[in-house]
Amino acid sequence: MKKRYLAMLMALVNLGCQDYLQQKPDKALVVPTSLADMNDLLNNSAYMNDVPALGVLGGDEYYMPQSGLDALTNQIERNTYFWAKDLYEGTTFAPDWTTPYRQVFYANVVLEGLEKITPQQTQRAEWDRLKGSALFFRAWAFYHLAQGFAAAYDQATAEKLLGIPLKLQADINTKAPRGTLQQTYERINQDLALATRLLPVKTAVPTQPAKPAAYGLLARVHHSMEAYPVAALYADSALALKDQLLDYGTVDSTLARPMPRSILNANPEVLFQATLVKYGFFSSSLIYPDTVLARSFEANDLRRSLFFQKGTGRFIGTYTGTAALFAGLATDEMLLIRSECAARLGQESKALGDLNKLLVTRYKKGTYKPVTETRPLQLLELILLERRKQLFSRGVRWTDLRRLNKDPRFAKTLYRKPSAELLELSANDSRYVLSIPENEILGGGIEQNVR
Amino acid sequence: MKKTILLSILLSVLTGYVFAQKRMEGTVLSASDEQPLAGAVVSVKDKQSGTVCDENGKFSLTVPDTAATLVISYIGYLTRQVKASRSGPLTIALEPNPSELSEVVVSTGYQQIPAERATGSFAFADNKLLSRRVSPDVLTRISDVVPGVIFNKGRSSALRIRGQSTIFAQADPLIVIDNFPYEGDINSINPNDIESITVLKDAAAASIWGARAGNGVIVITTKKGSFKKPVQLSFNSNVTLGASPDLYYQPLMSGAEYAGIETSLFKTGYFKADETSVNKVALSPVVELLIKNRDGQLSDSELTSQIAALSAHDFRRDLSRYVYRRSVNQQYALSLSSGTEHQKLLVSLGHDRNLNPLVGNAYQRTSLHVNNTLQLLENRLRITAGLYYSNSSQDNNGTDRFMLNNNLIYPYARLADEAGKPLALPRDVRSSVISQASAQGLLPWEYVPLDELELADNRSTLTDYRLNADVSYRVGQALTFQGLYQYGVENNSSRNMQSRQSYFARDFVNRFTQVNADGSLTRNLPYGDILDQGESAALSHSARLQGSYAKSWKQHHRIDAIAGSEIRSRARKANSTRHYGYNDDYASFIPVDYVRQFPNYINGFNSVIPNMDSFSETFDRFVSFYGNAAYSFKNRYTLSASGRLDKSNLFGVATNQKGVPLFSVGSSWEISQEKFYQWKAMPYLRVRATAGYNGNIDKTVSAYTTARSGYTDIESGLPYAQIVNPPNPKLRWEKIRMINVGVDFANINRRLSGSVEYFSKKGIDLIGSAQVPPSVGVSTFRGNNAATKGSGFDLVLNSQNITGVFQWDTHLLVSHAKDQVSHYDIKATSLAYTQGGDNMSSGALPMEGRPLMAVYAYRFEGLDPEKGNPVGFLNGAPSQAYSSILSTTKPEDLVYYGPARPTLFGSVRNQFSYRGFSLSAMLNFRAGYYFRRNSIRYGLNSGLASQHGDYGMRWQKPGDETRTNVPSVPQTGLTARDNFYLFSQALVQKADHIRLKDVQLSYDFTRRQLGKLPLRSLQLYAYGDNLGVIWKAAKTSLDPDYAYAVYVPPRTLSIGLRADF
Repeated sequence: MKKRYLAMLMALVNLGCQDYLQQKPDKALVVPTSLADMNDLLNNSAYMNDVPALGVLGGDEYYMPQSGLDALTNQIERNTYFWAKDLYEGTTFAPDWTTPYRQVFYANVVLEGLEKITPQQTQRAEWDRLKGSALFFRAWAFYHLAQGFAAAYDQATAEKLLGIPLKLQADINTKAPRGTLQQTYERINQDLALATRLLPVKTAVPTQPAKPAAYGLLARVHHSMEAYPVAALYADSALALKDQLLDYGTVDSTLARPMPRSILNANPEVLFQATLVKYGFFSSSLIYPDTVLARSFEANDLRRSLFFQKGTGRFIGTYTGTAALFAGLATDEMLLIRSECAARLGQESKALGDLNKLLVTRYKKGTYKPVTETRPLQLLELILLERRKQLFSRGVRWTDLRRLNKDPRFAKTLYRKPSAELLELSANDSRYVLSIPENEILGGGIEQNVR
Repeated sequence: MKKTILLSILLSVLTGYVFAQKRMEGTVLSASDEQPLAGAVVSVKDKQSGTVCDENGKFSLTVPDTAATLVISYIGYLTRQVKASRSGPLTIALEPNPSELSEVVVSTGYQQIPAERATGSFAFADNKLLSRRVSPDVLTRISDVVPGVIFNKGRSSALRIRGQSTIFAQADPLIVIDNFPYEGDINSINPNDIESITVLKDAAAASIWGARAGNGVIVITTKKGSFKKPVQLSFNSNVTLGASPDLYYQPLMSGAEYAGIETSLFKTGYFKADETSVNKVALSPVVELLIKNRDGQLSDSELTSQIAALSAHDFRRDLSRYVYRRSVNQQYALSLSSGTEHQKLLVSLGHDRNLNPLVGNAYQRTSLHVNNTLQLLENRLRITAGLYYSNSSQDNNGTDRFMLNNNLIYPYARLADEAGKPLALPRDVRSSVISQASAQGLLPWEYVPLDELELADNRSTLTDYRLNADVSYRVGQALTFQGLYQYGVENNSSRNMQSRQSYFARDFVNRFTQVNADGSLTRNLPYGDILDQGESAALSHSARLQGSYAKSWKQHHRIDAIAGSEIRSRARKANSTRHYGYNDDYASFIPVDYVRQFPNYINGFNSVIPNMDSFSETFDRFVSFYGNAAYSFKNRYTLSASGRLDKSNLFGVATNQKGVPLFSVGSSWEISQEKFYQWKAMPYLRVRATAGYNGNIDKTVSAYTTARSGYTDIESGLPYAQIVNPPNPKLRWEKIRMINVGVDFANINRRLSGSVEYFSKKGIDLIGSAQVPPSVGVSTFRGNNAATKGSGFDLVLNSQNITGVFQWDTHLLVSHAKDQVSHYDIKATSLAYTQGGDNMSSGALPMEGRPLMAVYAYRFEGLDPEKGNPVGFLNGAPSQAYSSILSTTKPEDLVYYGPARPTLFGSVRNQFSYRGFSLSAMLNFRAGYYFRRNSIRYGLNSGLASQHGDYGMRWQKPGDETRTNVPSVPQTGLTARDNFYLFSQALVQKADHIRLKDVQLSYDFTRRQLGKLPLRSLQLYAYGDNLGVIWKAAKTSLDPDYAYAVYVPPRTLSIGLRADF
C-alpha cells in the first residue's frame, strides 16, 4: 500500500516539476540570445570604450614631480613613468592588459551569439550592425594590445617578432598562442575590412562604431604600420563619410571643461568615442603637460586656453567634455594622417591643404596665416608637431614615438629626473614594449617580453 | 482507505469472537520521570506479532489469548513482562537500565531516532545544556558543548562542522528549524524557545538533506509542551553587563609621532598635492599650521607650541568617553504550557533589549511562539499547528569610523572640548572652502561628529513569522502518513533618515549648489532631509508528504523506514529608494532631475544627482524525493540506508542535469550484547560505521553565458548588460564523500562514558574560482575544477568524578579536523598566497597539497644594520630587492607555516554541585594553526594611513636591529618593501591558546525554602563570558583569534532568575 501511495505522489509532483524548475533564480539575469541582448552587451561603454593608457604615462606628454608619483597607489603607474624593468612587483593589477581582453571576450560572446540567430528580414540591418560592431571592438582591442605588449610594426621583421594572443573564441578553456606580429596585424585588418562592409554610416551615439570609425581605425592601424599610401586611402574613406570640424572659435573657454560633450553628438569631429583607462596619474593634481609643448601654442591659437586651464596649466581640452580623457577617433586625426601621408608621398599641396583646413578652425577668427612650407622635410616636421599638439593626451603618442624612432631623422630620447639620477629611454629601447602580467604567463603559458 | 480501516476493524471484531483474541491497549512510560517512551517495542512472547509505541508511548495490539505474555522493551530500560489477562488500558512503567546510557532522541528534521539506534554521527545538545549559557542568540550556545563544531571567531566565515570541504560555494551548515530549512536571520530566533539542537555531522546523518547537507546540518527543535501536564507558567529573565571595549588593545601611533611624520612629510612637499587639489580636500590641523608657518603667518615657536598642544591629545580617550559604553543586554522570557490527554499547548513570549557597546546602536526583539497539538480518533490522528513570530529592530546610529579624506582620522583628533562641547573635525573639504562657502550663503559645512550622533536616525527592522501545520494519521499498527506545510515570511525594512541638519545632507546640497553671476544661489539638489529606505520580503512555502513505517516482529526484528517528497520555494522581492528634499513633518519630498549634469561647487566638474533606486526579485525552488530505512536485529545489529534526489532551478543548467542523487549506508553493532563479550569494566560497547555522499550548491554559477541586464549607461543613457558568468558547459554540482567510524562506550554505572569517531571527507567536483589568465576576458572563473580531502576525529568523554551530595562531573570534547586541497590547477603569484587565506582575507586561495586556509610568508632575514631595511632572500642570498623578491619568489618557495584555522580544538567543562548550588566552568582550546599580526605599513606617507603603533618600535639607529623587527621609515615610499615586510616571517606566530570561556553559578531553592510562595521552583544564576585567554603559545599581547580586531569582545557578566509557577 505504501508503495502505491508513494508512486502516485511522485508522479503528481513530477508532472508539475518541470515548469516549476524553469523559473529564473534572478529576474535581472539573462542568457544573452536575442539581438537586443547582444546590443546590451556592446553598449557597456565602461567596458567596451576604455583604452589602455600606460603609453601616456611612459611617453613625453606629461611631467609629474616625485611627490605626485609618491601619492599614486598602483605601482605600475610609477614604474611605467620611470620605465622600470619590473612593472608589477608581484601584483596583478594590469588594466592595460585586462581591459582590451575583456572587450575581446564580449566581442566573441556577441559574434558567437549572432551565429546562432537567423535574422528575419527586418532584423538584417541590426544583425549586420552588431556583427560589424563586435568585429570593430575586437580589432580595436587587439590594436591597443599590440601597441603596448608587442614591438612596433616593421614589415621586415613582422614575421619573426611575437604578436599578442589572438583570442577568437569566448570559451574560457581555449588558449591562444602569441603568434607573429604579422598575424596580429592581419587579424586586425581582416576584422576591420569586414566591419566596414557591415556597419551603417551613422549610429545613435558615438560610443557605437559606424562606418567612418572602422575606416578611421584602418587608417590609424596602417599609419602605425608605416603603410602610408593605404593609410591615406582609409583616412580619405573616413573623411568622405564625415569630415566636419569643430570651429574652436565657437567654444566657450570659461567652462571648467570647455569642449562640447561628444556623447551628446555635440562635437562634430568625433567618429568614435573612447576614453583612457582612469589611472590615478590622470586625476592627480600634480600632473603637468610637457612645458615645451604647451608653450609651442601661439598666442592667437585658441587651443592655448581651450586645452590648458588658466593658472594650473591642467589639460582640459578632452573631447568628451567630461572628466574622462578622450582617446577615440576624430576627423582632426584623419586630416593629420592624410596630410602626413601626402607629405611623405611627395604630394605637398595635398598635405598643406589638409593641414590648413584643420588649423584654420583652431585659431582666432581672421588671425590664421596658412602654412606655405613646401620643403618636404620641413613640411613633415611641421605636420608632426601639429599632430603632437592637436592629438595631445589622446593615447596616440606612444605609438608615434615607436614609429618615428625607427627613422633617425625623428628619433627621440626621453628623460626623467626623479632625483639626482637622470633616467633615459633611448629610441627603440626594449622598454617600449611592456611586460605581460605575471598571472597571464603563469596561467596562459605564453612567452614574456624581455625588457 | 476508509473502507480498509472499517474492514480491518470489522475483521478484528469478528476474529475476536471466533478465536477468543483480545485487543490490548496501553501506555509505556519511563518509571523515572513518567515521560512516554516513543518507539518502545511491545510484543507477544514466543509469537511473531508485535508493535511499536507511538509518540505518546501508546500502543494497541491483538493477543491470541488471555494467557499470552506481553514483552515490553526499550533501549536503555529494563525489559518487562506483563500478563495479557489484565483488563483495561495498561500503564507500563519501565525502569531505566543502570548499565546503559540515558536515552537521547536525535532529530534529523525528518524523523526522531533514538541515539542508540543511530548509525550516523549526531551531536546533541538538550535544553539544559543550551540554557547554561546566556546569549541573545541560539547558535553560539552550541559552541564548545558539541563535538566537531567550531566558531572561527574573528574570521570571515565563522561556523564550521568538521572543517570545510567546499571552496567557494556556500560553506555554512544548513539550518533546520522544526522540520524545514531556515533561511532567514537566525538571530531572530529566541533561544528560550529552543528545546534541543541536533548537529548532523556525517553522510548517514545528513544525507537525508541531500544536496544541501555537504557542510553538515543543524537541526533546531522548538519547545512543544507535553500531554497530561497541569498548567505551568515559567519565567526566565537575565541582565548582562559588558565591559567597555578596550581601545588600547591594538598598538596605535601616538599623536606626537603622527604630527612628527606630518611635519617631515610637509618639508618634502607631500601635502602639496592635497593643498592644490581641485577637490580642495580637507587637511589636518597640523598641516594647516605648517602651511601658515610656511606662508609667514605663524612664527616657528608658535608653530612648535601649537603642534605640541594639539598632538598631546589621545583620540581614544574621546572614543571611550563619547563613542563607546558598557553594553547592557536584558532578556525576558515567559511561557505557559498545559496538556490534557488529547491536547497540548505551549505559548511563549520573549523580549530582548540590548544596548550595544557603540553609543547609538541598540537591538530589541520580541517573539511569540504558539504550538498546539490535538490527538483524535484514538490517537491515530494528530494535528499540530504552530506559529512563530519575531519582530526585531536594530538602531545603527553609532559609528567609530571617523575619516579624513577617506583615511583614518589623525590620532590626536578631539570630539569635544574640556567642557564637553562638541567640536568640529575636518573631513572632506578644507576649512578655507568652508568659510568661503558660508560667506557666499551656502549651508554650514562643518562636521561635528557628536552632533551627527544625535541627528542619526537609522533603523532596520525585521519581522519574521512562520506558520506550521503538521497532520499525521496512523493506518494500522505500522504505517503513518504525514503531511507538513510551512508558510514563512521575512520582512526586512530599513529607514535611514539623514536630517537636513546632518553633515551628509548639508555636504550633498552644497556640492550641488551653483553660485550665479549676481551672487544668488541655485540649489540643484533641494535642501531637505535625505531619506533612504529599503524593503525586502521573502515568502517561502514548504510542503512535505511522508510515509513512515515502523514494525517489529519475532521480538528480534525491527524496521523503521520513511519515504517522501518535498517541495520548497522561496521568492524574495526587494527594493530600495532614496528621496531628496524630504520633509519628515509633512512626509513630502521634492523630485529631482537625475538626467541633467550639474557643476560641482568645489571643482566645477559636471555630475548627475545619484539615483539610489533599485529593485530585485529572486527565486529559489527545490523539488526533492527521499527515503531512509533502518533495520535492527536483536537491538544489537542495525543497518541503515538513505537516499535523496534533489532538483532545483539552478540557472542555465538543462533540466536533466538539475538533479543530483545522493545516498548513504550505515551499520552499527552493540558488541557488549554478544555472549562472547566478557569485558566487565565496560558493560556497554558499540561500534558503528557509515559512508555516503552529500551535496552542495553554488547558485552563482551557470553553464551558460549569463548576463545581468537592466543597467543604464550614465553617459549615453542606453541600456546595457554585464556578463556575470562566462560559458561553461561542463558545470556539475559539488559532492562530498564522507566515511565515519565510531565507538560508543560506558563503564559500570556510567561513571565514565563517551564516544570516539573518526571521519574522512573528500570533496569532489568542487567549484573553484580559477584565476584564469586574464586574456580569457574575465577576472575570475568558477567551475568544477577543485577537490579537497579531509579527516579528523571527535572524542567525547563524560566522567562522574564524585557522586553523592557533592557531585563533580567533567565533560571533555576534543575534535580534530584538517583539510587539504588535493586538486587545484591554478597557480597564483606568491604575493597573492601570502595575502589570501588568513584572517585578513575574505576568500581562500587554494594551493595543491596545502590546507584550504593556510599561512605563508616570505623568508625574513632580520633588519639590515646600516639602514634598518628588512632583508629578504633571493636566489640563495639575502636581498633587499623587494620587488624582485615579490615577483620572482615561487609559491612553493614561500615559508609554509600551517593552517590558518584551528585543526585541534575542544573544551573541558567541570561541573560541581552541592545541594542547591551548581558551579560550572568551561575552558576551551584551539591549536594547530597560525596567525599573522598587523604592523606598520609605511606606504607613501611614512605610515600616516596605517597609524600602527609598531612605528614607535621601528629601527632608528644602527644597533636597533637587535631589539626590533620593525623596519625604518623608508626614504621614498616603496609598496614592495611594505608588502615584503608585512607578509614576511617577521609577523607570523603560532595561534594555539587556551581560554577561560565562561563560568556559570546557580542556586536552586528547595521546596522548603520556597515555603508558601506560589512557586514550584526557583533558580538564581550568574554567568560570566569572554573571561580571557589563560595561555597562548605566542609571546604577544594580542588575542590570536582577534589579531586584527580593534578590540576583543569585552567580558560580560549576567545575572538572572528562572521560576516555575
